[in-house]
Order: sequence, then structure tokens, then C-alpha cells
Amino acid sequence: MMLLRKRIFIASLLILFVLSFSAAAAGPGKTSEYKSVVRHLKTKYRAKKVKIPLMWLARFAVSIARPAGVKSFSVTLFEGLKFSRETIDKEMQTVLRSSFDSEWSPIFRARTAEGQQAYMYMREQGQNVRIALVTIDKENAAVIRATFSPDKLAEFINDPKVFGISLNETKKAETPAPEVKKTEPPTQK
Amino acid sequence: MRSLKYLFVLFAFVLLPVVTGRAQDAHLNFDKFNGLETHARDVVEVNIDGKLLELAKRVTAKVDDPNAKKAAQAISGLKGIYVRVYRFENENEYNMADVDAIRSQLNAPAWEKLANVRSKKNDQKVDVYTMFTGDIMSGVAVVISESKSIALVNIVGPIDIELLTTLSGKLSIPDIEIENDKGTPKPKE
Repeated sequence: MMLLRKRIFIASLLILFVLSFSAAAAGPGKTSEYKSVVRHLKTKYRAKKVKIPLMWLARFAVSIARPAGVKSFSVTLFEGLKFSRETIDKEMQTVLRSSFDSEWSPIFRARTAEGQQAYMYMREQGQNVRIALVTIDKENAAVIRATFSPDKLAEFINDPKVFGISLNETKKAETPAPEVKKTEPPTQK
Repeated sequence: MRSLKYLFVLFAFVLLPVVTGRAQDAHLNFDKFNGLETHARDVVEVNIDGKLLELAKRVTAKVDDPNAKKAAQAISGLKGIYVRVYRFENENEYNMADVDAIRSQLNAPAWEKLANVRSKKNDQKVDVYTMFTGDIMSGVAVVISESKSIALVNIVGPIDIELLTTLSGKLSIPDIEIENDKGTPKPKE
């Protein structure tokens, strides 16, 4: 009986650990708008997803360390996009407008004749801010989403620390000491 | 009849702030630029308003840096910053009527032309307009047109020029050399 209880306890601990880990790894980044943009790139432009090694670990580390107030992030890279330079901007705008609801604000948009596009959206979510960035450069694309706390970002600017290690001190150590001007002893007349 | 009178007064009270608010708003209508967008080679669109501006105010106000505090003060009343840049493949490819449509908005009595510069180089025209509400500058619009490009900058909300000049050359703000009362250029820090 005692052994069974112990096993149940360990199993529930394991389940809890796995659940919390997967929640942190998936984060709030994987929501409908993110998915619909990714789906559009995949289906419309026949983009192939590029696997980023150890991305899950980076996301897990960020969810724990929260550098510069970043609570979670998602990055999806694509290659081999096939699109028409004449129509891609309009198509992307249509998709982004339908994917991001009125809570999201379009902040930045740029396009060039060479086929480079960048779109940035932002929204507030309680005390946090969510940012979405879509960039297309010729046949490559990146869809990035991050959630960060502005208050924690301000704290980080004031005192940059990651895992309790101050980045200010390393900066100080890297910068050479200011030169001290040698003062010549006064000459006796 | 009496209830109709009350209804009219109520309606006037509700409508008046909306009408006056619109009349004093320095936010330009960018829909007139849609014609330029279709012919442009490169397009850049920046919209910093509402939530993003509030976020910038929140973060800069919390940063322990005197310049950041000044920047927070400078943007504290701002309602929006909008930028549109259109570059064209060939000279005079754009329709001048589209630019004139924007300029016509700035011919409204609330706007005052502060400066206009005409240069033969690239057929450059720079027009600076300001809007005042009482003694406070409540908006700025800068229209820059060249043979191959058009740019528009629109700042909405009270702007403290003196405060901005104190920040020139700091926090990535370009160095603005403004002569002080004594006629000597502002010293660089």
C-alpha cells in the first residue's frame, strides 16, 4: 500500500513536471494568429519549415530566466518560398489583417522591390505586451512572437541581470580603465 | 416638445466634444496615399500610437536615467507618430495630385506653414507645418518630396520643442544645432 502511494506520488509529480514544461515551451506564442500566418506561408508560398536545433531548450531557458522581461517567444523559420513580388505585399496584408484582430496594432510595415517584406504587430495583454514580427527576404521567411513585461524590461535596463549575473559588471570589466593624466611636478623657479 | 428640447441639448453635449476633438486633431488622413502605394518601389509605414506610445512612456519613465526621464516627459503628451516613405523606380513616377491631396489637408486653417525649402537637387521640396492649440504646439507635419521619393512625418499631440532640443544628440535622437538667445550654437555635450 505504501509502495503504491509512493508510486502514485512520483507519477503525479512527473505528470505535473511534464505539463508545466510543455506549457512553458508552447507558451502563449502558439495561438491562432501565429498559426494562421505560418499556415499561409506553408500553403500559399510552399515554404519549407527549417528546424532550429535546441529551440525547445532556448524557449524553456527564456521562460525560466526571463531576460529583459521576455516571458516567452516563438520562432519559425522557412525557406524556399515561391511568390510573386507584385502581389505578395497585398496578400500578406490581407492575411495579417484577418489573422490579427482589433486588439493588435500594426506598428511597422516595409516592402522593397527586391522581395523583402517586414510586418510588425503589437498588443497588450494584462501587464504584458505581445509582439509579432513577420519578415520575408527573397525565399526565406521568419515568424517571431514574443511576450514580455514592460516593467521587467525597465528593471532590466536599470540593472541588466540574467540568472542573477549582472551584465553591468562584465561591461565594466570589459571597458578599459580611463587614462589618468600624469601631472608634472611644479618646476621650481 | 420640451422632451425634444432636452434631447437636442443632450445630443449637442454628446456631439460637441466629438466635433471639436476632430477639428483640433493633427492626425492626417493617409488614405490619400493609397495611390502612391501602388506605384511605389519601396514602402515604409510606421504607426506609433495608443498602446505602443503608452508602453514607451511606461518604460522610459521607469528607467533610471535623466535623459530617459526627459524623453518620457517629451513624449508624455504625444498621441501618435506616423511615418510614410515611398520610393519610386523612375523620376516623377508618382502622381503629384496624391501629394497635393495631403498638402490640401495641411491648408486647413488649423495648420500653419512654418517653413518650406525648395532645392534644385533632386527637385526636393520640404514643407513643415505646425498646429497650435492655444500656445501649445499640438501637431507637426513634414512633407518631403523628391523626384524619386515622398516622405511624410506626422506627430500628433503637444510637443515641447525646448525639451526635445535638450535631448538632441542623446538617446539616438539626431543632433539638432539650434542657436540660443545669445546667438551662439548650442554646445555639444
